[in-house]
Amino acid sequence: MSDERDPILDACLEEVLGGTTPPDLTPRIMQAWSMLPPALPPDGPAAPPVQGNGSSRPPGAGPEQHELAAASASPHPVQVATTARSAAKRRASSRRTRRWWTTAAAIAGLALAAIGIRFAWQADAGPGIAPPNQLTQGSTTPSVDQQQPAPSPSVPPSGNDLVERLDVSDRPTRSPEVITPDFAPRPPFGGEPVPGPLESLVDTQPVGPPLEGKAVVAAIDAAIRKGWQDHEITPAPAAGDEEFAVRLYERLLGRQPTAKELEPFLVSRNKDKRASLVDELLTREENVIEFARHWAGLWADGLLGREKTVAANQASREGLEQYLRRAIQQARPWDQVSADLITATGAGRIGAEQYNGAANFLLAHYDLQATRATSQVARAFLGQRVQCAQCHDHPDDPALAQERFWELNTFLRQLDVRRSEGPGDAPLLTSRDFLGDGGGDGANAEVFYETPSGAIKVAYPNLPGVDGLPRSGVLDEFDRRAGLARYITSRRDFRRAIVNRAWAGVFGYGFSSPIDDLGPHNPPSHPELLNTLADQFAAHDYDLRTLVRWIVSSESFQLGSGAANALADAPERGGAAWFSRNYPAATAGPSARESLLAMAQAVSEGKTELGIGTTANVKPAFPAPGRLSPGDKVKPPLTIASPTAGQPGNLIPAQVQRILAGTMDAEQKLDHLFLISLQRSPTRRERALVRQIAGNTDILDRDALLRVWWALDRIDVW
Amino acid sequence: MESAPVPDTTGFDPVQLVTEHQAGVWRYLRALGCDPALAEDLTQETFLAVFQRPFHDYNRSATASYLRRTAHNLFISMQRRAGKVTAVEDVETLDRSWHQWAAEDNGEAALAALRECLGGLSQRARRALQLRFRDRETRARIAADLQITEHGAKNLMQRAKQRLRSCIESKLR
Repeated sequence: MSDERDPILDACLEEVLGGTTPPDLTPRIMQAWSMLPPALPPDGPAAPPVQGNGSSRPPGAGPEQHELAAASASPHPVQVATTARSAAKRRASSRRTRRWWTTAAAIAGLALAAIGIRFAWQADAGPGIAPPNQLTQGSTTPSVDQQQPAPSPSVPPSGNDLVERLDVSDRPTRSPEVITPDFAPRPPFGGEPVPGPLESLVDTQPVGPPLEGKAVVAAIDAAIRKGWQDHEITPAPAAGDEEFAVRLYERLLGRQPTAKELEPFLVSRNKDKRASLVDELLTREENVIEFARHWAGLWADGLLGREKTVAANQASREGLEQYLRRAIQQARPWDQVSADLITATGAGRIGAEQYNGAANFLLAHYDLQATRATSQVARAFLGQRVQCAQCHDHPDDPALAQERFWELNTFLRQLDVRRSEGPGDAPLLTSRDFLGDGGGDGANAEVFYETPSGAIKVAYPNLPGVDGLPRSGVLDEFDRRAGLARYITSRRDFRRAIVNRAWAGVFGYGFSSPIDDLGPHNPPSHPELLNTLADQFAAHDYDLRTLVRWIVSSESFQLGSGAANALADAPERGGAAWFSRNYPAATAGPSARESLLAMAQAVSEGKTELGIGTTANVKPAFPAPGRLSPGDKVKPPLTIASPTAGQPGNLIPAQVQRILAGTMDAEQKLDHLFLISLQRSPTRRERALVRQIAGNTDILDRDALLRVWWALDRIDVW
Repeated sequence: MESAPVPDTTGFDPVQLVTEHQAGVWRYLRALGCDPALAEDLTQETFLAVFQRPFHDYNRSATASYLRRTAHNLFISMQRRAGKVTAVEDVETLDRSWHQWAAEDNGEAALAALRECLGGLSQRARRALQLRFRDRETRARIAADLQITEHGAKNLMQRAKQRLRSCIESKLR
C-alpha cells in the first residue's frame, strides 16, 4: 500500500476531522431482520416483532424480503443489495407490510365476526357444541399477552423506542452447533493439552539398512530396464566419452568442461574412468564449490520459483542460495536443511542484522493467513500440490479434502513478519503466539475456513497418522513449525519428493510430471524405484551428493541422446519419462511474467495460429554446448505457439480441461489456472498481461484462457 | 479435523451483538473503501447474513473476527458484481494493520491516539489534513491555501500521515 493512500488512517482521519462517525444502526438492522422470512430450522430464533404492530413477523413476506434472505443465506458469494436499490426495496417492502397488515386486520375482523355469528347461532342450537375456548384456539389473532411479553432485563437500553420494546429473552435459542457439523467429530484428546517432546510426530518406521552404492545403482538399472521392457522401448546406444563428460559437467557443475579438463579424461585408458570422473567432480574441493553453487541455484528455483527478483517481504534469492550453497558444501543432511527452511527465523537479506538465509523461503511465501506458505511447504517438501484444497476438496485426490489443507495451515499460523522500522532494516521472519482466528488465550488456537457451501468450519493441528496433537498456539507450549518440520522430514513422502527433484535435476524429468505433484491421481512412472531410492537416501543420512552420485552412475545416464523410437519415450511431449535416452531437456524455463509477456507479444503480432506440433511448442531445450558459463541460468527462446489451432484435446491435462469447461466465471477460471500452475493467484501485472493476451479486452474467452495456460505450462520444468 | 467445541452457553442477544460490534464492522468497511452510506448498508447486510446462519457468540474477539470476515466477503462480492478489481494484497495488508489498530476495541484506542497525535503535527500539516479530510478540498485547493505547489501539498500530507501512523502505532504498542 502506498503512503499516499492509507485506508485505515484515512478512515480514522475522516472520522476525527470530518466527523463521519459510525451511526447507530441497531433499530434499522432489527427491523430489517424482522422482515426476513425464516431461514433457520424451526428451532432457530425468531425474528423480532415489527415496530408498532405488536405481533410476530408477518407471514408471506414480499419477494424483496425473500431475495434479501436468500442473499444472506447464499453460500458463496453472499449476495447483497446495493445502497440505492436496497433502500428503495426497504421502503417498498415497508409500504407493502403496512398494506398487508391492513388487509390481514380486515380479514381477521371479518373472521371474528363470522365466528361470533356462528357461536351465537350454535349457542341457540343447544347442547353438544364445543366450548368457546376450543373455538378460539385456532384463531389467527393471538392475545396481546402472547404477542408482547414483558421486556427482558437482559436487553441493554439503547435509547430507541423500538429496541426498548424488543424482547429477545423468550426467543428460542440458537443451536449450540456453531459450525455446520457435516463431518464426524473426533473424540477430544484426553485432557492433556501439551504432550512433551512431540515424539508422536516422528515416523519411526524403519527405512532398512543402507546398501552399498553399487547395489543401489544396480537397483536403479533393474527398475529402469523393467520399464523399457514393459513399454517395449529400445534404449539409445551408450554415449561416447566426450558426450558423457560434457553432460556430467553440465548436470553436476552447471557448466561445460574446459579443454584442459576434458583432455586427460578422453585419453585415459582406465576402465573405471567414468566413475573416477564422477568421484572427482563430487569430492575435489574446487568442484564441490561449483557443485554446491549449481545445485543451490536449482533448489532455490524449486523453493522460490524462477522470478529473478522476489518482491514479497524483501525476500532475497541471493540469501537463500547462499544458505543452500553452504549447506551442500558442508554435506549437511537434507532433512536438516529442510527443517531449517521450515523453522527458520531471521532477516533474509545478506548483511542484515539477524541474517538467516534459510528464512527467505517462508519470507517469500508469507501472507497473513499463511495459505501460500502452506501450499509451498507441501509442494517443496511433500511433493504434493494442495492449493486446490484451500477452497474445495481436491478433485482428483480423495485423500486431500479441504480440511487437510487447513489442518496443515494451522502449523504455519505462528509465522509472522516483523516489518522494517528504519529505512535500512530488513523484514524479520519470526514466530509468535497464535491465539486462533477467533482470538482467545491460544489454548485452542483454531483456524476458520469457509467451505464451498458457505459453512464456516474450524481446523486444529492434525496430521495423517498422528494422534493427540496439542491445540495450543502458544509458542512455549507448542512450536507448531518445529513440530511440522519433525513430521515432514521423517516421512517417506518427504524423501520421495526430494529424490524426485534431484532425479529431475540430473535428467531434466522426474518420475512424475509435474515433479511436485505426487499422489494417487498422478502416480510416478517408477514407484518402486522411487521408494527404494527414497529409503536409501534416508539410510545414507540424507546426503545429497551421494544421491546424485547414484543417479549419474546409473546405466541411463551413460546413454546417448538419440533413440530409434524416441517417440515412445518423449516426456517433452507430455508423456512419462522412461529414461531410455538422455533428454535435451532444460532445467530452467522462463519466469511467469516472461512467458505471459511473450504470449501477449505473440497475440499482438497476430501469431496465434501456429498450432501445436512445431518445435516451438515443446518444452525448452538446452542451448548448444559451449554457451554456458558457471552460474548461468539456461533460458530457452521465448517463441510461443498458440494451442488454440488444431490443439488435440488430449494434450490438455484433464484438470485444465475441467476448469475450462466448468461453470465458473472467467476470472475464477483464470485464478484456478494460476493456482494449479504457480500455487498462487495472478498478480496485478500478470492480470494486465492476461488482458493483453485476451486482445486488450476484459472478455476472457476459452481461447484466451487456453493461451494463458499454455504460457504458464512452459514454466513448470523443475 | 473436528467440529467446533460445544459452547457452554446457548443463544445470543442480537441487539447486544449489533450494539457491540456495529461500529467495528462499519469502520472496517470504511477502511476497505466504502463510502459512509455503503458502509451502513453492508454493515446491515453483515448482521443479517450472520443472523441467518447458525451462530453462537463465543467471545468478543471471535465474533468480531467472524463479522469482519462476513463483511469482507460481502464487500468483495459487491465489488465483483460491480466489475471492480480488488487487489488481494491490499486487503491483506489492511487486515494486518486492522489487527494491530482496531481488532480489540472497534478502533476506539486508535482514534483516541490519533486525536493526541494530531496535536503533535505542525500547524501547516494539520491545516492540510483538515482541508483534505474535513473540508474535502482538492489537492490544488489545498496547495493554493497553503501557498505551495501541488507536489509540495502531496508531500506535506504524506509526511504528516507517516508521522501520524508512527505515533499511533507507538501509542498502541
